[in-house]
Amino acid sequence: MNIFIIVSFGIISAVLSLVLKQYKPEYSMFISLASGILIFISVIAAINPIIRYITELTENAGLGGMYAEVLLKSLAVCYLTQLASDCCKDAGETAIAGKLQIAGKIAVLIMALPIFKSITEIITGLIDT
Amino acid sequence: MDVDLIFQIAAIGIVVAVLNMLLQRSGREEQAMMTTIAGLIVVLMMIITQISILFETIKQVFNLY
Repeated sequence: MNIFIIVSFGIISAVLSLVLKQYKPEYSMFISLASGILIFISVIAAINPIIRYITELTENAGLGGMYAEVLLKSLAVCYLTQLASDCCKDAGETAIAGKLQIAGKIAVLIMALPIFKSITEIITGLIDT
Repeated sequence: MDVDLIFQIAAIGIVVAVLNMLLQRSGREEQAMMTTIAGLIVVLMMIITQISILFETIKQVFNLY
């Protein structure tokens, strides 16, 4: 995960997609999609220490693995929907990008439901005592 | 971080654009359409393999599903 490589890679693919925009606009979207995916792969491969640190923190604090798991899953969902909706916006399809955002929000909400439940249980427990 | 994938896609795009113009000048519109579609399919296949690699890494790293 060398930042110089990623930055130069992004600039090169931006220039190439501009060159291709006048002749074949669809290829400029391919190039932006491909470079986004490649940068994403190299970033995600380097995210392992962060994830291990988060899981250690939650285990030490005795919060239970469920919260860390939901946290990581919603992080992954947010990354993916961000990537896809940005690509759609680049291609000029803002409607599709909006739908993707809504789908991502709902997916994260579904994943976070157990946490809401446990919070309400804790609160009702406090109120009863 | 293999940059050559980006260069391959750009090369295919330029080749298809040039071929398209050539074929249209020489009066073969349908072959020009064929080459455009062929180039599109080739690039789509490359992008789909990259997307599957991305999904695999995400599944491993975030142990999603």
